[in-house]
Amino acid sequence: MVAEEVKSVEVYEVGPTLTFSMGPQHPGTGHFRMVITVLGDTVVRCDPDPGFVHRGEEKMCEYKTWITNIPHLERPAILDAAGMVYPYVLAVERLMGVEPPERAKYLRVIMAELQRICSHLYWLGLMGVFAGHATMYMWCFGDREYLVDLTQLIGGQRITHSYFVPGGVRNDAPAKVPKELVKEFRRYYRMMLGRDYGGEVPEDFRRYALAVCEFFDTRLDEYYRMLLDSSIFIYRTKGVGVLRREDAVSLGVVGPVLRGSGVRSDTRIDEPYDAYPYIKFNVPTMDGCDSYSRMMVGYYEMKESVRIIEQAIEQMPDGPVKLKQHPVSIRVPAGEVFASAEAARGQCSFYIRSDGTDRPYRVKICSPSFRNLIALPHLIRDVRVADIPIIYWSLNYWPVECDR
Amino acid sequence: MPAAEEALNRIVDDLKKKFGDKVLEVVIEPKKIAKVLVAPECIKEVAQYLKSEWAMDYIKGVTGVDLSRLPDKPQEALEVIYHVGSMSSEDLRGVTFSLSTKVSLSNPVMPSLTGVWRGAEMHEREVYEMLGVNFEGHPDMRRLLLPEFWSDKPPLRKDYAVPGRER
Amino acid sequence: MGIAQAIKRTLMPVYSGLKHVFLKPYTVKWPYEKVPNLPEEGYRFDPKAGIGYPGSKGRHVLYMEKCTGCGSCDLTCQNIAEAITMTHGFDVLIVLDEGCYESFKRSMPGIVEAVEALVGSFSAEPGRIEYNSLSSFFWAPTDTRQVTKVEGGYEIRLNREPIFDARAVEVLHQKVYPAVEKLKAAGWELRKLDAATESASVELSRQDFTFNVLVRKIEMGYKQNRRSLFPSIDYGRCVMCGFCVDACPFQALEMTGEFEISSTSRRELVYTPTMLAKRPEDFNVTGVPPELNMIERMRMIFRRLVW
Repeated sequence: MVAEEVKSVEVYEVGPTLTFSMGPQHPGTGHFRMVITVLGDTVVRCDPDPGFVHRGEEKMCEYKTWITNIPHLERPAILDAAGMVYPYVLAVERLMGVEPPERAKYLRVIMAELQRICSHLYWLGLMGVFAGHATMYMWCFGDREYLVDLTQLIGGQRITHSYFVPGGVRNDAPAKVPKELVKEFRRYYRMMLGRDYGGEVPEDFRRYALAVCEFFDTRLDEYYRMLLDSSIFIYRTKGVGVLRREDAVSLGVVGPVLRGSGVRSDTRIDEPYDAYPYIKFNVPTMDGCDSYSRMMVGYYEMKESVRIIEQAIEQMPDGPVKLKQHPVSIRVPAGEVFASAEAARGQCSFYIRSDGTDRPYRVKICSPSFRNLIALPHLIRDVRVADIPIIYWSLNYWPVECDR
Repeated sequence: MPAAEEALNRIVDDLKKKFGDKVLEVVIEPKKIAKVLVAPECIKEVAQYLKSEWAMDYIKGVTGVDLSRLPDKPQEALEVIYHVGSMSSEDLRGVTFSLSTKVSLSNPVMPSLTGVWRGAEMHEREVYEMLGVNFEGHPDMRRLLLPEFWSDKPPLRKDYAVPGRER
Repeated sequence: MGIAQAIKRTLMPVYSGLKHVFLKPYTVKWPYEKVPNLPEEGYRFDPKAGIGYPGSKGRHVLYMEKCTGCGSCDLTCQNIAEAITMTHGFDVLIVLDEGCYESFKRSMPGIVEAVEALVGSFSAEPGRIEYNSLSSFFWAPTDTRQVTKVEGGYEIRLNREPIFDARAVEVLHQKVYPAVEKLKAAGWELRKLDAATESASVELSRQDFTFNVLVRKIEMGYKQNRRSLFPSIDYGRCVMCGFCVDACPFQALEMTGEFEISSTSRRELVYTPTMLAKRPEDFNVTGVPPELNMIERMRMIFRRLVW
């Protein structure tokens, strides 16, 4: 194509730049503020201002004992409590030099993947809201209920279950599922899949959990048709917020943001822990590097998580789920450790230094949202104001997890 | 992960050979941590070397530790640890290497490594406000998480006691 | 992008959404309908095997016949939420000697107004204890049936249920002191204040009347718990992690599936040992509430019939 000759240049008066803050009361951003400078409708500069929900988790860890740290470490990311506690538990176990029993490893994997799906559903649902598609939010939260129920059956709580402890998990999975729950679920199963879920013992936990996975897999296809393959969503997200591969690596972003930029990196395969080496799964990556790619990575991760849960339930051996130890006070030898696990938002790492007492000397949380924060000023530059929520939420940024 | 341990050993050996007595201390524990302590003057040099020779291009976190209350050997120093990994080299994928340095508690100044690892910017800002370490050459040395009215000591130092709690 | 794909991408979402118009909604109309998915059992812990049993982590239930008052749960919770306090049960009594009691019976204005002020300070803030017991409306503390004769005088008990607190002085401060301040203004003199953990008393006198207000520990009479020390849980702080259940070496604490513990004041969220000892079905009623109007009822029945 031949470039057209420039005949005349029109100059518009856009006036001085305007600086305003987006948040911290913005319904989408959560407790987080972006100081945005615009020139007309174009963002010139974005300065993220986290810290509105800073709780001093790292200092608090120095005041509490090894086990009683667990409930408050879940709080930064309540939708993904397992992901936050997993590296802490791994780190303490490595310091103590113990290995959890085999069954506990599988139960942990099931719990971590369940919470990953729950967290991603929130991500997908709110992405729908940001793209002007509120139905997606309702759907995601309706279906999330069955996965949350499964979490409650295993861990006792819907979100912050305090289920992992160094040396295993706190209790085994139940053998039976309550009758009313199965009755309610069967109706939706028939409605969505068009066939009956039953078998000889429908109340059996394994059977029920597999049926929930199957049900949810079908729903995911529906989500794809409804939101991710809809033309409106594609127009809103494709080519918006492009983070190139080399930028993603040099900025040190994690999780779906990194994989959405084409880097095949996942803690579950890079440094496999617990039962992940025995389970076959893919690590989805996309080369689009934009918001749409990040969303699609999240979507495919949910599909993979369903596969992981199914495999873990089928392969799970019988046996004990916890080492013999005191339930609330353990001794950890002195030393240093750096352990990572793949949380829903990416790699979550803990640096722990122990001085041999009943409390940690120093706990450092490298949370995924904090590591993705630096991509925000990089991405929100030279974009339209209307694209800010899309870019912001495509990073799956969670203010509390960042502030800790 | 024997491959990762082997890779870490190779890196540490290489660093020892290249930098000699500038490497002050080495902590290698399988599955736990691989840490090399260098003096603050030459940390930038070591970091550059790690990035160019060993393809350590991916920053995972920066930790500051106040060493003044360690029970066995208390020191009037702050330790700043850079946890780095590699994305461009496939066999170093699962490796985390820790490069650390010690600065004095009274005058904590060290060069910023944002020139080497761009992603360290937010991490260094956090260490600056939480432990009071000044990073020279940092492009944007401001508070990050703490409130504007904070006028006490840096809160993650050991002599800052949380009001109403005792350790 | 071809035309066919564009049409598919535009129409498919509409079709997916429209399908749901003809399906039954997911929503459970809680609290009018019971949520079906609660596991029946609560979380328990077996200290011998060192492992928990799966179940919901809801409100606790306390087995007072097993609790020894060792305070392990309190110690654990100190590091988590500081919700658990070890408490004694206390009675608050007005102790009158023979002479004073005679004047009280003859309605001498001085002593009667003093007793009324003390009673008034009690009924001013009714607390969670009288929440749904009908009999509390018919009970008045100055009823002579509440008066017991003891050695050297008479006692009027002011509380119906035991008041649980960590120290007797706290009870004296919270419950009795407002009235004492009022009486001081009326010319009464505070003679002697005796304060300890397990009992506290204050002596008031004016002219020839002298009487005591006494806060006294209740002996619960459990063999394994001679100090009568039981945990109270503040659900405004509890995070339901269940580590107190793990910490109990005697299986005295368990959790239940009860999650409906909201209230309109923070005081009501403090559960005393006697409240914890009740299983939740004893006082938690779910079902169709009576205040639901006819149209709502019809809608609910219709919903049941159609789907």
